[in-house]
Amino acid sequence: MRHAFLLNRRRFLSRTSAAFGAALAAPTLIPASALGLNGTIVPSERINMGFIGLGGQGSGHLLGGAWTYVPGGYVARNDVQVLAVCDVRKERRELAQARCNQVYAQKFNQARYDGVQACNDFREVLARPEIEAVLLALPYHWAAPMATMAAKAGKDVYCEKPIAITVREGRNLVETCRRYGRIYQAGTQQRSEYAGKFRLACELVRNGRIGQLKEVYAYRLPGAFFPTPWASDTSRPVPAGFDWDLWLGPLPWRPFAGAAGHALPGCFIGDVNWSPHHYDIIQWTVNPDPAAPIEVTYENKGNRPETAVIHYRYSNGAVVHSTGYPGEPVGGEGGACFVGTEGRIAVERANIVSDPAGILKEPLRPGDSRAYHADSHSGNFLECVRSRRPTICNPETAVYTMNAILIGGIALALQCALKWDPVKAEFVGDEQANRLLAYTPRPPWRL
Amino acid sequence: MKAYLFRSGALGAIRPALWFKGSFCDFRILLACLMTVAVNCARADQEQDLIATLQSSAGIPQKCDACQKLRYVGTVKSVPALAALLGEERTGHAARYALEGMPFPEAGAALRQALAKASGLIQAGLVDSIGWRRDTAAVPLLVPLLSGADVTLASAAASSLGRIGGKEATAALVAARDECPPAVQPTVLNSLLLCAEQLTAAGDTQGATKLCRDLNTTKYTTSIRVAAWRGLVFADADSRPELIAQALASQDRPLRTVALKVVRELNDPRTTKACVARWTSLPPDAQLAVLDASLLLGSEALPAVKAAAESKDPAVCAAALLALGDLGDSSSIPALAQAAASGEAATRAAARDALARLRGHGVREALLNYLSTAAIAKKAELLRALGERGDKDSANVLVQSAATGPEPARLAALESLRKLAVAETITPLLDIAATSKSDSERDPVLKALYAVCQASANKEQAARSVVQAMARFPAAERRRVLPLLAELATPAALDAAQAATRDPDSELVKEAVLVLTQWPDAAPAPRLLELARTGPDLTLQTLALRGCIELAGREPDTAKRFTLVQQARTAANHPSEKKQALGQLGQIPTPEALQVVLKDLADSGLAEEAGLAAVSIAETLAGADPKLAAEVAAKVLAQCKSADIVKRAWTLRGKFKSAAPFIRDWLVCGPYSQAGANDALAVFNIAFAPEKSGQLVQWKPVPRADVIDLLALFPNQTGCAAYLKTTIIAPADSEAAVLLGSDDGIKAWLDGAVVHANNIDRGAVPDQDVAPIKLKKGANELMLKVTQGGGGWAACARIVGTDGLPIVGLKAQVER
Repeated sequence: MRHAFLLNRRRFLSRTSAAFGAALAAPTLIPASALGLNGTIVPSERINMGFIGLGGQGSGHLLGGAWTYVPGGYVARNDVQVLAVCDVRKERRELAQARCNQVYAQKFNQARYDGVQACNDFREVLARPEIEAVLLALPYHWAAPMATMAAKAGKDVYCEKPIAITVREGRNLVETCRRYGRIYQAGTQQRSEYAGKFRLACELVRNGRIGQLKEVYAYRLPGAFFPTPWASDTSRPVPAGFDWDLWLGPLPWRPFAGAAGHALPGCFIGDVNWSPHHYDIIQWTVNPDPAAPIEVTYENKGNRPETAVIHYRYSNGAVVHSTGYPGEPVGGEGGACFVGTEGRIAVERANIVSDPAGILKEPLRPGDSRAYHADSHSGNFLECVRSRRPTICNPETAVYTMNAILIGGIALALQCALKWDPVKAEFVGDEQANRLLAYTPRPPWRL
Repeated sequence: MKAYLFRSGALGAIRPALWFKGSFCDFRILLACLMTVAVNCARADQEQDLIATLQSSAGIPQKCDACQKLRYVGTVKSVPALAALLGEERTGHAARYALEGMPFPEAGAALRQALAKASGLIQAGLVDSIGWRRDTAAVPLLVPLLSGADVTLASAAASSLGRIGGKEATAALVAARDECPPAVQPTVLNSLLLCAEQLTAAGDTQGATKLCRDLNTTKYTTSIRVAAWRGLVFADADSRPELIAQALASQDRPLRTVALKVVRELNDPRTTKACVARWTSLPPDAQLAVLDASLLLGSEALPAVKAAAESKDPAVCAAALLALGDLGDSSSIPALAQAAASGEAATRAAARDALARLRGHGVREALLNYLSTAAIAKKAELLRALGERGDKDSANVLVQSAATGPEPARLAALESLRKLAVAETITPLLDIAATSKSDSERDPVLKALYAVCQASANKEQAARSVVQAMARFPAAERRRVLPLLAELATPAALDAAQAATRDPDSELVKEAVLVLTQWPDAAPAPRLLELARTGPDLTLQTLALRGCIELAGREPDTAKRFTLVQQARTAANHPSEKKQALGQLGQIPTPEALQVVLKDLADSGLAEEAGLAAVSIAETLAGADPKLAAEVAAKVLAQCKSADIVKRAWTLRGKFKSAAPFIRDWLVCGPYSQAGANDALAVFNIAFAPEKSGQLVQWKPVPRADVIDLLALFPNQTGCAAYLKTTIIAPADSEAAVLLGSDDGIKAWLDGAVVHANNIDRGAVPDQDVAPIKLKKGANELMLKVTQGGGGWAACARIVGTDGLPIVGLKAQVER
């Protein structure tokens, strides 16, 4: 059934909420202009946000940059007020703070604007009641624990992928977002951006334009948390201004060894970073029964890790391969190729092609079923924060996709075939594989 | 790796075969059984080795790795060895990881036993693992920890008790609720919410309701209070409608915020109806939420949706109109037509969408009936809807409106006819085109006609209709419908188009030549060639010649294509047509075509086009005849200057993989970035200090390597660039090429002059780019700029001579 998810709901915010007004009036560091007292957009029209993780993706969201699709970043939006920036690297948070304050100084015509707080510890951001939403762009191991903590603190969450590194984390995330009534969106922006190419592919396939969907080529291996080694004694001096222990968080402790980017070396098997985008589109398009089991098989004709292939068989008969479609370059840059009984569609960020070519020329008809439509991933998140509608990639959807990746990664790690029960979130008849569905955080961190 | 042995490829290969082929074979079953025995033996051996590691004097990383493997291979046998490590911080964490995942009671017992001896964070970790194991036997051990002074431990205990649940755990959490320290309270309250969920799932709604009511108070944080309210809604079905209806109308924003989400996810008709009953007291955002929920009620929700469509709030109105598309019936048509014809853009779009989707008994008939009485604007919307609905049976109605107007209705009808593209409308549309009084009036008719011709399944019949109609038209009108013939491209259409080239009307002839040029195959080429040779004027001859060359490219038979292009080329007097012919020859990968284009290399006016064509042909032939390709490349390099052609000619020489050494000695500086330039593409053209003269740059030596890993030199950088510099010592003045690979973009300078630039986001592969260079004898400074957008960051370079081979005596050096 088609739902009216596209409308702008901003106007419906209650502007008279005493509770909200009181919350906003509390902090003294927000200048009056930021509170809408100088003819600027009133606060109830804006969402107060904190940004945690200020690497390439996080600072891109905040200040504008590639793959974030927000010109000038969130800080340039009139419907967002950035109240805090947070990173375990001092130079990053201070740079972001200075830049945000500079933008607001100009916007509110206040030369000494200092309303943006810079934090090392994200718990300071979560503790601020006036912050309504947080954007998380974190090392992989922090995404789910921090998103869960944010939801418990009453924040809505936009979280960059990979959104969980274990099945347990994902399940906990879904339950917590439900329990606290939070809006959550995963940063799988291929659903919304790239001129709707991925949505078009999804809708064409779902409406039978390639006949019955038989196979999908993902062009990427899935992956899973599978730390080898678990620990290390290699040690280098921790750079000044870098909180290594907080970066490490729930991971097993090890000395700083000079690498602290998105993930520690050796923590993962396969691909958990780039694959979420593409497996997300694949789940969207295959549109499987979310309660039906998935069969995962492992194949390796080359006996080298890079020659391994994972296959998924869904209950509707579609089989997803982690390889590329032979001879089809489109999809290789990150995308998928959908093969049906009457043709195929290959899609990636820059291209969408079909065979026969006419498949793409025939527009969708009014009676055709449509996928959730959003033209801006960030915009969809903010709109849903206001309307409380589910986002285009809500926690249930994001976790279903992430689980598909993780179970494929576990098959890759154990080099075996597995059967997955998505309702119980466990493998059928394989207690050994089930042991890899969770890991044990380092105290004091818990899920 | 040893850890993989027990589930190695052989077993993995059998299981997919069973699944994918769907049949069991006795041999495979037997083999699988044998494999299982072998697997178990391997597993036992491996476990013993791992236990031995734990009990040895191995270092912490080795012991932790053994624990990590025991997580998934360990049996009861490994529990004592793991338990012995639980008291140490690092190995204890790894051992706990192993034990927590083991489905044996012995593992749980080991964790409980360790609890009494542990303290601090180690104890907190044990408590957490016990909680995840949902070990009810541990509850008496955890309860006392709730009231301890260590808040980390108390929080861990509260968390685990919540996961374990049950009467005893819940009672302990209730007792701690208002007595525990503030740092522990959020965890206690969250655990109580968890207990309430467990009670609801178990059917104890009374117990769950009590827990949630006690938490739904302003005494606690807003997030706990509204979560408790939500728990209450799910636990107390009787009170649910009233609770939600009240919350949606409430001034308590956090509560209403959660209610907006809950009403949508509940899918509870009783609740939705209760909310609908309070419609007028709800604020617009709540009305929208209720509307979304109402859709799940089906037709029962129609009265409410219709009422919402009358809302003065545009967003509520638009959402209701959209919903009418799903739930509405024929009685909704007048309101939808009215809304589509007037009002704000969002409501108009919603009403149009709904009119297109409205289904059900009598809807089509009602729509057509209303068409006859509706005012002009509404009539136009209904005509538009017929097209959107794909109602091909309404073609006659649409043709009538297209012929008689009024203007908004005429345009809407034509647009629908374009969308429907019904073959039978071709003749009436041609008649309308013939009677159109202006181009602007005719254009929408022609658009519809093109669509009909394009979609026509019987092109012969459609072509006959067009040809017959043309016979009735004066020359000026014929000219306008002539392009339809190229769309149909049947023999009859070709005859008609060719006949038009013989018409006395010169404008019609010119249009006919242009139409023939657009023909989808090369069939009109002979007539165009004839016109090129004997046409009445130079303009027409030129048009025909160009058309002939273009059409030649559509001839699938290579030999025929070559002959056609050659004939056209012979007829060409002007360089521009000769260049066009060379372009076509370049697409014919035969030695004959190659010989023809090579002759034009000597003509300075044609050299670049001939070179491009020669390279294109030689690229195709190179696999079968590399010597020929190399000869062509040499000839092209001697005549052509265009950078792209020169690069392709260089590549044609194709011996770059003949072990030319990579440049291994580099100096590096960077990374450089600039505010506002946040990706690889953005920094590419920003001139940083190394590109500017007189700037102080700190060059540092790089560890020697074939591929320079800049990511290792500058980790955690994005949206930036680094520079590499080396000195090439050439044994003599010589022409050469530098072969480059990069992640991401790369720019190269030789002695300060840019010799290559490729602004791209990619992974590095050796020899991705080729840059021709001229080396002087002695020192030549080569500098590279390599950009970084994210992920990998690397570059490599090597230099070859004009023969594609390494240059003897050439070396690269830096001062280290």
